[in-house]
Amino acid sequence: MSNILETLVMYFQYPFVQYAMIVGLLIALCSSLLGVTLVLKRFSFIGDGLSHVAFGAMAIAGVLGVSNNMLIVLPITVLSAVLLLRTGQNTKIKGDAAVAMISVGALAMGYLLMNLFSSSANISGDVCSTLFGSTSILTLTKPEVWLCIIMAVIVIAVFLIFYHKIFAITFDENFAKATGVKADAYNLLIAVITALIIVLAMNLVGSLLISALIIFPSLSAMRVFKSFRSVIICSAVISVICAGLGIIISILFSTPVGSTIVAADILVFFMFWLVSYCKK
Amino acid sequence: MGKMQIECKNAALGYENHVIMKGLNFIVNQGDYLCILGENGSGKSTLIKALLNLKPQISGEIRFSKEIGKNEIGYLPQQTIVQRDFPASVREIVQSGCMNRCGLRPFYNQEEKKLASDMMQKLEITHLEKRCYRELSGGQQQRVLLARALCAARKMLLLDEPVTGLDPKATNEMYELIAKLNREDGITVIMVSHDMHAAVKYASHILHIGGRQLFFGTKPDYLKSKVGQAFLAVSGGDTDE
Amino acid sequence: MMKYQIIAILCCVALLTACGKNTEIVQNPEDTAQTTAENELVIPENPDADPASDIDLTTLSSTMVYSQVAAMMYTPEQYEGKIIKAKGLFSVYHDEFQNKDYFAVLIKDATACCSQGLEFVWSGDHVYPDDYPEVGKEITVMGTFATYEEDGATYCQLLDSSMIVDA
Repeated sequence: MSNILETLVMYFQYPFVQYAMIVGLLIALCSSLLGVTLVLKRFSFIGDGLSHVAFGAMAIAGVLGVSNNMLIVLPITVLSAVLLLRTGQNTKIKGDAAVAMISVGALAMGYLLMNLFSSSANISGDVCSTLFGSTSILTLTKPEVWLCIIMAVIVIAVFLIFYHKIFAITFDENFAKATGVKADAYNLLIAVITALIIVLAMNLVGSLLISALIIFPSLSAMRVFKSFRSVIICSAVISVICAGLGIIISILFSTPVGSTIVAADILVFFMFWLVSYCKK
Repeated sequence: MGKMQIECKNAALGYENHVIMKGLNFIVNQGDYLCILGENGSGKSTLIKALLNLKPQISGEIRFSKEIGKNEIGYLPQQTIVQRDFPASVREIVQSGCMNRCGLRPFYNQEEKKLASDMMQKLEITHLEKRCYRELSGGQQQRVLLARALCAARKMLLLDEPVTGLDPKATNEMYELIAKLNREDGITVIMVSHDMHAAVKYASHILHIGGRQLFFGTKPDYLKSKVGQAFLAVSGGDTDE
Repeated sequence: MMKYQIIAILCCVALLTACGKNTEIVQNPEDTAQTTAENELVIPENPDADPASDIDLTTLSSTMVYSQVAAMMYTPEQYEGKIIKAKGLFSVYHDEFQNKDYFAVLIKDATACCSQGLEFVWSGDHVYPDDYPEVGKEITVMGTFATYEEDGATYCQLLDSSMIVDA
């Protein structure tokens, strides 16, 4: 055991491990904060759709050979978030069908583009690391680290500033609207932040596993806690701990980072489920 | 008869090119208890949206007095599916009624917190303050939402089918509570309902709609009118939910 | 209440970032947090490492190896002149135009979908394919990290490498 600890201490001296830990924990924090709202507003499917869009955008960025992928992925994902929200409200195309259409479409087109035009020699590697994250979080470049930190801080700040408003429109959009809260504007804000988080989280767990990162901690917290505030705090704690544990386990035992984090989240979910089950 | 609070003149409501309801003419005065009656699909929810300023009228005019102003009606919406398993404490929900007082300020101040406490006291739910909303009974949940509505506005309440899903005892308590707020605090009440029995028992005024305005006037007049008698005959005066 | 919470959360965020720096300071008394944040290379002391090498990749977990190699590819100038020991699968790339063979040790990541080749030059006179192992054999190489330019691109290689074919 002490041997493992020593190894861990040694690993933590590597700058890329430190970056991964800082960025990973921040991403986990962001995603869990918004996760509660997304789950309660039945918006989690938007998160899922957006993550696939982000994959498609990543493919386009790869084809165009842009040095910083974020410059392309970010605007496309944010734009899709806005569009998805619009179609979700519009009844002509059913919201879930629209999301399914966009997400699967983006996935297919992304893979096609990567295969046809990719300049990289290792296509399957690219696809795999975009879908599952692989070790992306450990191979971040310094500008990427700073971009992640800045975006995470923005997300956290926005969430804290608008906390009460987000609560109001999550609980009862009609009432909020009736009392003059610009619910549509806040919905848009939530969608945009979700897009930011998804782009961020792609580094950590890859685009296929992002939904898990958003949904599991909040679902776990909701099993046990009874007020909105405590649910949010609890899901943030769960998410951060699981991300930290996941990263540590994956560097020690060479497991894939994303899946390890999600596995930790699932484990915690079952623990909380058990607790709530026993309480009844 | 109190001051005029809402005046609706020949208003037509609906979507862009589709008129759902026209010829609306009614006045709501301070202290009134107006019951809006109508079948499902008669345009009740469209009228609610118009009164809440969420959807402008197509033509005509809906005027609000200064003290009511825009967005200052305490609204009690129908429960949504989302709310049924929503993890939130009673205080959090009641307090969210103060949202429109905050403007851009991200926090509630002492005054708003006190307002929330006062309203919980008024509706006798102070002991539930820390309880989780989803664990309350239907009647308790409605009280919580009513307290929230009162935080948003103390002059006028707009209630959308406030007793849906409540058992007879809770239904009765809810109606008595609303009547008490109307009687003792002088709060104007607009209640949308298809519960004829309650309308006849509690309301001071009746607005009966069905694609257009079928009747508007005081309750005694309504009971004498053809529309009123026809409706009474159909629903038999019982609480059919 | 909310105000205190925000302060508390911001403190936590600050702590998270601060923690990273603290551990650096504790474990590397010579390095200040600042210089590590700048372009100075950090090579943690590893008791299991081969003392003949500067960076011994053979003692790290495969996730760490992959990440370390990625870091080396990203900022090769930092690693110039360092003696690197690495273990991986032997592979060959044949350049048709120059009729030249490039030899590399292939390092796979944990998900086994990504791999990076680290090119090495075996010291001494050896003829391919006679003296070299079969492609796909596990080998351990140790050599000096260097970069070179070819057709406008920068490549990395290990010069003067020793090579051991693992059993």
